[in-house]
Amino acid sequence: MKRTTTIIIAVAAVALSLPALSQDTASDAGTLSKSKADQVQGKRPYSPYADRNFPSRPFFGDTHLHTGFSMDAGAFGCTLTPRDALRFARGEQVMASSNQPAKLSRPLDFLVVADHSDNMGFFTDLFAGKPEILAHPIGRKWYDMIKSGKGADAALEIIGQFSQGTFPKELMYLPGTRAYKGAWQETIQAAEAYNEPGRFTAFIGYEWTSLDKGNNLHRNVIFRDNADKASQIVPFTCYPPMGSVNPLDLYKWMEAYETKTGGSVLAIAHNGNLSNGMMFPVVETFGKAVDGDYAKQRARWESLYEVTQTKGDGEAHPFLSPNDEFADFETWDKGNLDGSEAKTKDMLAGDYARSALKNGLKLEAKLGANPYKFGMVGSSDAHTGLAAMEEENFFGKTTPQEPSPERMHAMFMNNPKTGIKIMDWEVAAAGYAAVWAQENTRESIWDAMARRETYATTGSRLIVRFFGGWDFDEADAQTRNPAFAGYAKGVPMGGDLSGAPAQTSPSFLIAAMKDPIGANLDRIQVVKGWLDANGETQEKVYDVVWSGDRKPDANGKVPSVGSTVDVENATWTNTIGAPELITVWKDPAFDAKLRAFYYVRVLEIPTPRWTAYDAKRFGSKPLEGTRMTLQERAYTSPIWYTPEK
Amino acid sequence: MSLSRFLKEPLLHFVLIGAALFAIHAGINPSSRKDSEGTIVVSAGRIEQLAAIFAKTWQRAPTAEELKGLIDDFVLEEAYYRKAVEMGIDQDDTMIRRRLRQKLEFLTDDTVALATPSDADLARYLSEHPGDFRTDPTYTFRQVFFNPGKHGADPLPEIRKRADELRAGGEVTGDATLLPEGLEKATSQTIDGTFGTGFAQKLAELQPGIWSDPIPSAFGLHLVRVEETTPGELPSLEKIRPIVEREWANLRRTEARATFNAALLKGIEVEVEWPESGKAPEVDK
Repeated sequence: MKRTTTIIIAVAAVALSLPALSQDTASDAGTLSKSKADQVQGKRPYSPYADRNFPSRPFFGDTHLHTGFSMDAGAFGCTLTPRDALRFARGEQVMASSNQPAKLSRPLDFLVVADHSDNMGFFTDLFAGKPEILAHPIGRKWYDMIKSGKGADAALEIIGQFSQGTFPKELMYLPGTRAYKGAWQETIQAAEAYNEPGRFTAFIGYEWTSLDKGNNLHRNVIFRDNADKASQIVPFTCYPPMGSVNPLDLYKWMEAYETKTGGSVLAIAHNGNLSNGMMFPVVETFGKAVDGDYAKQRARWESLYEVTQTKGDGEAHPFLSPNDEFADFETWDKGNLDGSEAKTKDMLAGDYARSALKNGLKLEAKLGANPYKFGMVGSSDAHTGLAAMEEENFFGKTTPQEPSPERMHAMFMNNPKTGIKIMDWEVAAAGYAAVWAQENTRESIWDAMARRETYATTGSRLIVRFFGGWDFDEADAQTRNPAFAGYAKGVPMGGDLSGAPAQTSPSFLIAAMKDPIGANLDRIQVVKGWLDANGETQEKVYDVVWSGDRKPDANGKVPSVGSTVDVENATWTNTIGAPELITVWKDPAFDAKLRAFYYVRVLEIPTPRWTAYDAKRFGSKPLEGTRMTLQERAYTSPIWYTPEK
Repeated sequence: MSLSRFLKEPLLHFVLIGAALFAIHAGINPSSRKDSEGTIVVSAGRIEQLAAIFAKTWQRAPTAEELKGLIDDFVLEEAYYRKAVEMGIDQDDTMIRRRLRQKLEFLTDDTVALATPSDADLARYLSEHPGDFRTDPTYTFRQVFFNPGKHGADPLPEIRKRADELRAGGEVTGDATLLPEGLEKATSQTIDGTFGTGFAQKLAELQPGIWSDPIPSAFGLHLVRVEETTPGELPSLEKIRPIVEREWANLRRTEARATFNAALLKGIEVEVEWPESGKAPEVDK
């Protein structure tokens, strides 16, 4: 009997028997046999730290933050720059655009400033000290003023000459290098200045803001590389003729970048919930059939999906998952991004991550490639320069939504034509991306993103481990460091299982730990999706471990954990729930012939929503229907099972 | 339509500002020579620019057809711009005003980016802001975790016994946990971020080399042995030059902005016409 487990390369156990290949990203290039695994396990050295090069902690960050450089953010009144955003994410106090001090409870580990590429262009590189400028007496004079610290005076002079039309013609030159030069170069330089390997990672990135008939197809593009490579290119835009709103054209751009520079880049889509069925097509996209090429391209460039953020949660929808009582979470399902088209039920399957994962299995069976083989992250999409997504420290989606007595009553969007109205209280304080990387560096975190070893949180920093294999047993959940067994005997979140041994169901080692300053845990669930023998997609949510001595009902559902939330005072206690949960779970209904995926959802006990903190601190009276409590959660990347041919 | 509603129309403002800004950009752009009314001149410099942006986007030169497309689009954009300005819709638009302000701010910020500080500048900055650069004390420690729920109503006597075993050189396995078995050279920020607020302070009070009595965390009880502590220190300039330079530039940027603001308003008479009493807007007390 051949018994193999595909395993991601950068993982510790494998590192013993294979050369270190940390540069080799995105591919699962190793195969771990059972005997090799046993050997590795038996050889654990005395020192708990020795030979441990698997990720020992997740890094938390935001892959999707806008600053005033984004056209719309600036228009909303955001005055913060990428540098301000990076300072804030690193834990420093900054002044928000609404002129109030802001600080995170704890620093983030990484940040992607992802400003919209369209209309990012700014002023020119007049001050770059180019020889042509220095050769001109006035240019030289300004340059010297700037150098000697009289930059503001120089700027005034320059502006004066501009407005009077006396700006020296000789200095107005440099065709071809202007567009984006300013803002894109500054975005890159800010990331370079604040990127401190080992301490804080500042990624270079941008958002490609594709909007087709009001339907949201946005992607954030994240570079693995430093300035030397990223500055060889300008971001891809949406307006023709230079740009396009078709994701296939974005992939071409990404390919051109990688081919030319030898760099690496990935894209993360978001807000399928506002795409009215276009985010995860199954039949056609932009007038072309969803075919094998589309599936391969999408899977290649989009290893992750941003599943939760300020404009709603995109994991599951109650209409699609009627048996999942936790599916209705921060739901935004009224229409598309600009509210120009109302949502109909038939659109939902193309909007939500869980149904996309299921349809991915179906498409894979048909096309030979799964376009929707993505892992999960959460991020903010805040347009404030502030990645502040904790309920009790929420700085809103846009500058007008920064903390104020009014924000619980204001309107986010109102489209009278369609009757779609969204209130500011509906904006979610979510989320963050958690990445199991070995080191806090661009390369290490990006590689973990590419191999999908990530999970999404709705703003809390709970820790989640998830491993799948063929022979996890109860004892693995009792060891002092479950990750050793996890990596040695299985694959982590984002990985693949294949080659099921006869009469064996996959087993999963699953553990979660609460945010050290956050709420206890209610339960851990496994969400299984599969393609049945008739080629139809199915799903089931299993409660696999929970706090206290609650007994599952006849349908296997564990009763509610209860609530300690005092809404009026915006407080709660950790007197219910558990700080940690761990278990080994075996799929009770496994069929080795059927494609399947498994991912983990962790629920915290109920806590006050940001609206409760606002009501308490500002004395604002909530509008009718305002949600005041929530159960923060985490979604891991799936582990896929594929039958051998 | 109210202003705030208008502000929140993403499509509208994308399209509108986009057009206006491209136009403004083009308006001050040097490479297009002054056009007479009724003529749009696409200069050689402009064509070069369009081709260069294309090349920078796609990492290859445009084909003749693509270049023609870019030029046609530029002409259309110019026509739109002229029409928009003629209609006056560039006026009194909050978003356009903010964007223009932002462009000027960008200009002043940019002037700082070029200034290169001397060693003396940086040394002075470092000595004036030591708190910003002092490294935190670090702790290297090992810990054994006990889940209080698993050791009866009063877990302390048992855990104390385990502490005695550890002190006698024995091996003690704690309960299963995702918490690390220890941390190496961790700052209090990392320690509190892992074990919960206040845990680092408790470590600071321990005598190194000796297993502690049970210490509570956000997760349960711990026996801890601090192996090593390093005090915080102020690194020399050469060790942290890029960081000091970054902070120095950041201050300069703030100062330049303030100087510019003041200079901008200099010589401008500001008249604020407060509403007559009785009509004044409500002021929050």
